[in-house]
Amino acid sequence: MIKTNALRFFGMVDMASRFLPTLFNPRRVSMIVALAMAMAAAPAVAEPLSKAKRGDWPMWGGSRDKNMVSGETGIVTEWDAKKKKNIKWVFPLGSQTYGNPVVVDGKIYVGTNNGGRLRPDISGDKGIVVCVDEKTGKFLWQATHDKLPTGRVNDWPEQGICSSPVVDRDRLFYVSNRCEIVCADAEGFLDGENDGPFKDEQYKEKQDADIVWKYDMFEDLEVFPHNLATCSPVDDGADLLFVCTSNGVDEGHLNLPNPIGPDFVAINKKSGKLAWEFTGPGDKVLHGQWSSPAFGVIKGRAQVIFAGGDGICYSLDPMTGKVLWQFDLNPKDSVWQLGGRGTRNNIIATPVIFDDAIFLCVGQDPEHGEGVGHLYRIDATKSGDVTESGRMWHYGEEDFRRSLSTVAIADGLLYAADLSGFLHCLDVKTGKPYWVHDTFAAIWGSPYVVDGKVMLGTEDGEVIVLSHGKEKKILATNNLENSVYTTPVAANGVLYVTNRRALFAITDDGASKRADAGESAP
Amino acid sequence: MMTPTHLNRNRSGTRRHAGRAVVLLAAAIAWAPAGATAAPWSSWRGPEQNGLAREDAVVTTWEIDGENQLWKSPVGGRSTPILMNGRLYAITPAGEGTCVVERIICMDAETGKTIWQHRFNVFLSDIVENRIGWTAVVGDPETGFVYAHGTGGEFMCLDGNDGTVVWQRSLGEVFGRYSGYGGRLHSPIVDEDRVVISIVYILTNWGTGKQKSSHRYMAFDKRTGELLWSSMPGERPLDTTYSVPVVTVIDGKRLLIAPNADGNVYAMLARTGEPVWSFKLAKRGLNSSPVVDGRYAYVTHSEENLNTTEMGAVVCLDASRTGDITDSGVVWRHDGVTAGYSSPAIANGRLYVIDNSAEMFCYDAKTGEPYWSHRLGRVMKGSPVVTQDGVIYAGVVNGVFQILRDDGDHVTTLSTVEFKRDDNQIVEIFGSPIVRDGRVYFMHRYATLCLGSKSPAPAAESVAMAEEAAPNPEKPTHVRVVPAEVTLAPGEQVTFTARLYDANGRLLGAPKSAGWGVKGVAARMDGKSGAATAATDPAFSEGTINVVADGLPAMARVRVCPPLPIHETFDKMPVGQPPPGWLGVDAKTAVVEQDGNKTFRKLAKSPSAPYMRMRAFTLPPQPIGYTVEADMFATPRRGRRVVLPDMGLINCRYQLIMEGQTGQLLLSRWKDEPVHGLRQRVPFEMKPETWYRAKMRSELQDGTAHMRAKVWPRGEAEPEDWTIELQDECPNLEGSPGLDAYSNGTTVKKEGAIVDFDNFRVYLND
Repeated sequence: MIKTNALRFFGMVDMASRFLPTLFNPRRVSMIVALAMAMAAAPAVAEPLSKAKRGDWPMWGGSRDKNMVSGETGIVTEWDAKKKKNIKWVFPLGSQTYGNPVVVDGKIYVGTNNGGRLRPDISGDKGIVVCVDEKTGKFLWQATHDKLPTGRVNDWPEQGICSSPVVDRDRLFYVSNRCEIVCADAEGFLDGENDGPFKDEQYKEKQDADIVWKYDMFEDLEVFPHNLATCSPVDDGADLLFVCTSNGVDEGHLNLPNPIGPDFVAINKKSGKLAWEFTGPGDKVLHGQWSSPAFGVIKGRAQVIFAGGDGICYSLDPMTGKVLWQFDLNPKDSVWQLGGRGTRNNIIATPVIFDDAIFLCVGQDPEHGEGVGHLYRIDATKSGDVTESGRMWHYGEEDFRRSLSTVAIADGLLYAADLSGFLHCLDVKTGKPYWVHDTFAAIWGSPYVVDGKVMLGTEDGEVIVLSHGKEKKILATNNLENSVYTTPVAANGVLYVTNRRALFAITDDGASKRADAGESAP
Repeated sequence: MMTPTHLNRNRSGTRRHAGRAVVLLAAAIAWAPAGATAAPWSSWRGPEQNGLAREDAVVTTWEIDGENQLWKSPVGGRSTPILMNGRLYAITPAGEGTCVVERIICMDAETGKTIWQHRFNVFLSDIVENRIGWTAVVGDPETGFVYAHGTGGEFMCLDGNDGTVVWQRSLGEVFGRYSGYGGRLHSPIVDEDRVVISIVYILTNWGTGKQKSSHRYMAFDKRTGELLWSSMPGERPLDTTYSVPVVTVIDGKRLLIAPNADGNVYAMLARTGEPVWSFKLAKRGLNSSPVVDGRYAYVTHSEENLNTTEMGAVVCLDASRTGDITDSGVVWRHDGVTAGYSSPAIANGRLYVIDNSAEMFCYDAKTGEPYWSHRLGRVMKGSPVVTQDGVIYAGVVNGVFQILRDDGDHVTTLSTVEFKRDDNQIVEIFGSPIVRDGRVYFMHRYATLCLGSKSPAPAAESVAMAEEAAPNPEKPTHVRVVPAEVTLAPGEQVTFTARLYDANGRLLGAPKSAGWGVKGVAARMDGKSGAATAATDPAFSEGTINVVADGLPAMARVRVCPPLPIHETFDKMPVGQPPPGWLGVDAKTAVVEQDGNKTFRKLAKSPSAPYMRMRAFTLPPQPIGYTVEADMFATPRRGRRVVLPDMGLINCRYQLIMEGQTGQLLLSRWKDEPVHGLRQRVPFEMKPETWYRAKMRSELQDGTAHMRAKVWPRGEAEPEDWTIELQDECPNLEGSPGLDAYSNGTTVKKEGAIVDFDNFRVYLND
């Protein structure tokens, strides 16, 4: 198994090395492959929803541009968790779930905590990534990570794993609650093999994760993740993986135990070795760093987009980690002050690449309360400090509040949500609002566009479904009975939503309700 | 505004203060206790501690600056006011810039005019400016005193008449209170002759007991500040929390019912702290406060439950039981209701619960049957008040004040008023309303408001607690020693008394026989009288005074601290242990010996913050005007980079820190003070493995604290000039001398940076 996996996994690099023997430098190969792949998949300007990505959903955001849209069709508008209407199956998770589902090759991966004791022998507070069979909703295996003994300042109790894996064939990559970058075998130990180099798994029963390698950012980079390392990595389509280290302040909130970073790293997916590191925010980190990166090729220039804990969006050269451009999302006169009155913010949302631009908003730890926010369209074709020159439009101050949510863009419309509960529909070209909807509940997840609809989960446990369009039209309010802090995902004709404690597979009952889809709703 | 304090130390280390209050309008308002009206609203949840106002609602609609708004005062904050003798009392933030402080404010309940305010500093705290003043004050109708717990850890008793400080205790420097950074601190309650406050300590108390960390309930004599008992019924605290206990009488037993930082709920005998029952509620610390009706206690939380992945619960407990009632005590429960901050209210047999997302639920209190639920807003921290005719008042964090009417099977909104700032941002409401005589008082971030009609609407009499059982002199069950904890100077004498109690916590008086002994601490004990005399040797020591009274054992904690001047070389202290009687050194420090010399070492083996940080308080607070010196030596952690520790001195609640990581010398009082004027920094490159000597002097000149410090390589001549200075126009007037260290770079696999201290000196300024 190891051989075929490895071949499949590294086949592309092998091929490239054969053709370009003199250039066999992993970075350069990666660059070439990445460019080729990204250009092939480069989204057309103002791509209609019907052309959007479909099939599997292999990473947070579904693709490297992180645009929260899906080209799937036949996705239902209404369901009822209690009466099991349009519910294909329900998979019970822990007591808190912030990971978003990722769907690849018949398997679903989602981060949660150990409240559900999916492996009954493993008790206590843990970070969990569970692998579930896509068709049946049956448990396959789980990765289990003990809590850091350093305590809440680095690894907050009961938060589980927030990182969503990026899956490349039979390997998945995520960041554990211990601030490790983990490469695991998609088969777990179910294939009867312990893939290495890492073979010393703490949990190595049949239903445990087969960890291929681990890179311990906490020990080896000596970074100090504030409250939790949460990054969902992105790759370049070849052999580089990009990860935010989550380096931040200590428990007193005013001191950075590690002011020299790094804030952001690239890791070789094959070897698990550090390719480069980037310190940009450094000693300017305001609180923590919880955003996830995007990757794309914009006008022929490959870029990895990293939202720093200093409120600055950095575009980095994927090969070197050098800054291509940077954009400060905080107004010059903004003030960092903990609580609702502070006007200087972090960035929690993930940058979205669309139409040669970056779409990104500011926000804060929800514990800091609601406050003033900003959403920008940033020109990604320039170089240097583009805070002035790259600002294509801005939406904020009184109109938009602090947000954790990533935007969704389709058919010339941009959807953005804020923590205060408002869903905004803007013109993607101008940033002018078409409509605003008040959900009357806190929003942590992101709006999701699929099949002519916009979906949004709320802290109240509702998934609100509106019509995708310039007119505001509410189609349905689906009650999932428990806070939805995540973003819906559509894959292979099925909608997946997690509330805090379960993963719901939602599909039209009339289509294909399987006889064995019998997990009872928790 | 502040004037120097005359500090008088009594035997328990309590300080009596005079003249710190700022009396603004005292002359204009005559102090006259109110006549025969209903009980005052002297604690945040009202006379029956349950959010019930025994009166019919007068205010059902109102407008900002309009209808039914009687007055508005620009006194804003996060807290809940109390009403006593026609006056409102509250704790709020006040001041600007470097003089952002906390204050106890007294307002005329008729007009909202400020009568007096007592300002006090925030110091040595990680709590941020936005979250100060989050506790609630409590009043004592019998004495007219008001009690408050400040962010810096001062626990104070003020005369409600004019704001004079009657007594105050430093919970941080004397009892090891751990503040955390979230701003969640406990609020006091008054019961009979006791004022009860609780603290969480995490390796911050003195003494190396079984419990290195705990949630500790302490009952002080409400008139003198003497510690009557302390109780630690719980396990390791999991969070810093702010649940306020309630007192009730069930089956003749006077109980204190207290949700704990360990996730359990405990009942203790109210007069002794003796545990009666425990109930395991959640996997995290508890913040909301209980309410009691008859024999039933209602508790809520929003964290992990023990047996389900549903978070949060509302539980009705049979509080008349004893022992572990986790299984046996549940009358009814609903899991999945995440009410972790707002506390319930109970009225007319109906229980009102608001979850963290501001959804309100109404249940039949007896059966738990739900009647209705209703959304009030997005985020809830404060607690509701319900009148006897079913009108509900509640302020929501997202700036909305709601008035609703419980119509049985549904609820009707009577009034929704939203507060917005000029810039359209919300005005947060964290506190709770209070309702008395037809008037509604509450506080938002920028103002206190009084709603009501002009005509008075007297409230009904409150329902008293049930009758207690008569004392049972035949069956004493436990003993308490008073004072329960004391700090002595060498040669100082104190007489302990033993008090005998029965199983219901009724005082039976003095025991017939008592045999006293002493353990650990350097003191002589008169075996019969309970008189203890500290040894005259000016050395630190700690231990217990023990008694067997009528066959029942009890003890008090005692430490001896030498007077100034102190020159501690650690040479007489045993190796392998922290210095006795010091706070904040447990389980992370030891006296070590190297090359024949002993030093006091901050160890760096455990990677969690309470172990990495050391804030050692060596003595009870001393008046400003002293100097602290020590030698310090940094052993770095070498790895990917050289990681140096932070190390420094504490003087009068200011800290001097050599920051190994930033290459700076920091002199500060409170790091998050908003304009950072109390956070002076100068460049300072710490060399590893080098002995430094640091010196820090506090001095009060014309009402300003002048803090001066210098650092130089030990062995070189002391430089004439000060290295760093800080002037504070809102001075700390006292504080404990101490040492500070932080073991940067400690990870799971690697030992962090170590600090050695030697030649610790404290003396009055030359």
